[in-house]
Amino acid sequence: MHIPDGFLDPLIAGLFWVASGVAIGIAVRRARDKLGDERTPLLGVVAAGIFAAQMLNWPIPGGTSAHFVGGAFAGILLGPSLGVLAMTAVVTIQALVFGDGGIIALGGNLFAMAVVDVLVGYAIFRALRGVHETGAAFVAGWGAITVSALAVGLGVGLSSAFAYELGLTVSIMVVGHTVLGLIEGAITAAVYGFVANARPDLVLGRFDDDSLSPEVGL
Amino acid sequence: MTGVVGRSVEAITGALRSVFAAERIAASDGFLQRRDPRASLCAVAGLALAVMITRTLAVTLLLGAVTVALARLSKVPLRRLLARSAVVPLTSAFIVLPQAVLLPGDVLVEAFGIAVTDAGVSYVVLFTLRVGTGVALLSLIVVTTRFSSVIAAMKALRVPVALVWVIAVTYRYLFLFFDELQRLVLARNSRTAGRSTVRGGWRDVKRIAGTFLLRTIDRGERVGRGMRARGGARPPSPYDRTRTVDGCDYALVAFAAATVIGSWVIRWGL
Repeated sequence: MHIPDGFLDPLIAGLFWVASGVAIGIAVRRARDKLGDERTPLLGVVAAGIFAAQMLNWPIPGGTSAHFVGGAFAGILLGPSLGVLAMTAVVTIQALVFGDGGIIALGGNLFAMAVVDVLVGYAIFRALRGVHETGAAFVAGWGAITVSALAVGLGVGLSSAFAYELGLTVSIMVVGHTVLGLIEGAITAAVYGFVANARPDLVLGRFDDDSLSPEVGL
Repeated sequence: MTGVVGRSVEAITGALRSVFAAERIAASDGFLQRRDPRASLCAVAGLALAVMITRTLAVTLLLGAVTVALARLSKVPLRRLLARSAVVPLTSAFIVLPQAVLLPGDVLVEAFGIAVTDAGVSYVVLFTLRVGTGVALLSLIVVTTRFSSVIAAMKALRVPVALVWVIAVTYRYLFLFFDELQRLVLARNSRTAGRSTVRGGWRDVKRIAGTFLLRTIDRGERVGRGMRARGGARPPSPYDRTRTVDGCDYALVAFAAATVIGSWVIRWGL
């Protein structure tokens, strides 16, 4: 999903930077209101865990494997603002430590994986959790990755640097991720089910303040 | 280590190896390593922007040459830079390859009713080179600048401090968690005999991921309790590294700015 430099026009990349900057700015302000300056950094511990969990290979039929993206899971576990912050840290480190994506395209990657993935995942889970919690986690993982792919398809398709038409880039990204997203949905549901069984206190919405851990207030 | 789940260890080891190799280069005494991280970040971003703006092969080649020159000056082995930067442009070339026959232009080769055009070939070559140069520039910053310096630069560039701390703490705990995850996978593998089915593999990796994430959250809570016990107001660690920006730093940033303007003028005129 990482967009490298060269796929986006500077104008589109700039718009992605602005959109990500606004969303991350709001997330920072809300996180500081919620956790305070002292405890906000602790979010990094959970972000590092999500990052490391992305390294796990999940077997899929045919002998190949898939990876966890984790944006929807971050939204479900941490809520929208803390989830956006955690995934911002993950995507930034992926770019500046591991060289995934690009510098100019970092705004686009943040928008797709740290903003859209988290917010859509959170919104879907919140809307459907009353019906079936694990099912809601599955749809959240699947839907979030598909909408993120739509954002990437739009950005790349609207860029003159990429010669394919908008309709084609959007169709390929959305159709491809509608299928691949089933794996992300299954992983999100599996991990959510395990965590929710072991630590039901962490499940979003079971406490009034929706904090990650009522005991320590993180 | 066998099986799809077991290969996670190879992925983790590969990631760690690339980070340690980059840290070794970042510790050497090269041109970009001596620069203030704010200057290197801004300059490399400027050069990447210039690459994004241009649609001219000569300008792209020139910016590619600048990237290679920066790598040489910074004692980055070109083979390593090429190894880091080759996969993405090659994949990109494969993606845009159909444009060699889709774009209208003068026919270069025709076979089985398919005509390869000059405009199509030019586009594929230019696109691949632009992506390659962009990836090489990012790799250059990755291998010449320690991430702790990047964090200090973010703070100096007035990125919100709460976000900088989240990124800093994520980086700090990342390697600890890589190690923990590696041990979990190794432990699971040592208890597993015979070939694993896809269903069995999912069951295993679900337990590993779930247990691992629970440990992660638990560690976060313990760190939080520790901070509270110490009074809670002290930030986790100092990253305030004030450096004097010297003439070379200003020259590098000015060069990058001139490159952006030059690329703009060549594409759109004054």
